[in-house]
Amino acid sequence: MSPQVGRIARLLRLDPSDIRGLEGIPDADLRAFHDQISKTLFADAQQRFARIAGLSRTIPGPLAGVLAERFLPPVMAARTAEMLEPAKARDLIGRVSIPYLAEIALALDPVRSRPVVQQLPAEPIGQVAKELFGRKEYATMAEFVGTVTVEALFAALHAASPHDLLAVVPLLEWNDNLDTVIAELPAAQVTQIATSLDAGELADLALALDPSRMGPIVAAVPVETVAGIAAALFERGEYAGMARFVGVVTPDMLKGALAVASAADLLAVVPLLEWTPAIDAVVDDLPDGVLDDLFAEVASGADWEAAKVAFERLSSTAQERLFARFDRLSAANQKRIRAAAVGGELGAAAADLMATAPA
Amino acid sequence: MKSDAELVKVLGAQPPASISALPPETLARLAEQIGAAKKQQRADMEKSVQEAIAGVPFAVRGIVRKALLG
Repeated sequence: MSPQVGRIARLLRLDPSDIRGLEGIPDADLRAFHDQISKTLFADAQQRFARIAGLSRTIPGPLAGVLAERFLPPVMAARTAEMLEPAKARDLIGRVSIPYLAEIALALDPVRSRPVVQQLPAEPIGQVAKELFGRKEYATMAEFVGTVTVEALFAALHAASPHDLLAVVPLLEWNDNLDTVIAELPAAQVTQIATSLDAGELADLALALDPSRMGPIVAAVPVETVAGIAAALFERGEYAGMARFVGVVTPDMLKGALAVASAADLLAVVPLLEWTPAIDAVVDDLPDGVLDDLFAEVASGADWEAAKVAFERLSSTAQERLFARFDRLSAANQKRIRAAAVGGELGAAAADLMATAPA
Repeated sequence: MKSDAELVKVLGAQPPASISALPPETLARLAEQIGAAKKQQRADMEKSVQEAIAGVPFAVRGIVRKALLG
């Protein structure tokens, strides 16, 4: 279910399951529909909200905070907050409880509230984020990435546990602030993410994050966990997702990742890799058994075009090692490879090597 | 009558085309849910206003009443 349906349900004070029939409606339309409902619900009260916001100028701050929390339901407080003078909002935010602020945050409109929210101090926003992470309100939080300042975003993400990050990251719309915050996550938090999430969860995070953003986290992942992440990604057939990470992993990590690849995985992923000497070194070092499996996979798969692309990516050392083991293939597979290589379907290098292969 | 007429009426605006294209029974239910929320919202607002006026300290009751009741 789209998070927007949850927002509509909250506005109508219904359970999300009561909002039926909106499956398949684009999020942008649901957001527009939410705003239309919000407008119609509060149309009659706009003047009153403006007057309540004006009250904050005449009532002392401490009293205004107490009165708001006692008499103003969060949904109405949110409409009023959008009309507050930023300086007043900054004063009031410290005078109400965090759970009340969290309820208001859930009812705020990320666009209309931006001028006010941008003026709020980072610390209470971090506390509200902690409260909302605790309630798993990831979708609503994600909508505020473009609303808050970079300092507030720091405070909010600092409050996130590794599992919170795992849940919220795929929902985020990336902007420069977010790039800055992710790039500068404290080392302790990065280590916590890298060591608290299991391999499958780190695989999810890897698919949700751009490698350049994931780089510091990858660097903190234990080498032995990399094999688990790779296994999870190979199992899901996420070859392109994996290939993106070649530039940010160490040779040891690459070795660990390729060690868990089946021959079919290798054939699928090799053409997608941005080739480097480090990859050559790892591939050159693949055990003989892996090369035998790879050769057999090429022969039985008979996808010569894909095999040619993969083969031509290999170093001459790896190519020679492969053909030096030609006689390990079954008779049927030898026949297929020979026909393909001689026919030029595996490329010029394969045709040359075929001539020297052991019969 | 267009099937989204009730929804347009309660919303006071034309919803996005993808919503208007929903089956009539879905549109009717949405219109009903929004109408009910509007009524509830008004009732809650009045209750909050009365409670606020009665509950605030006497010294500020006048300005609170003026702000809330206009």
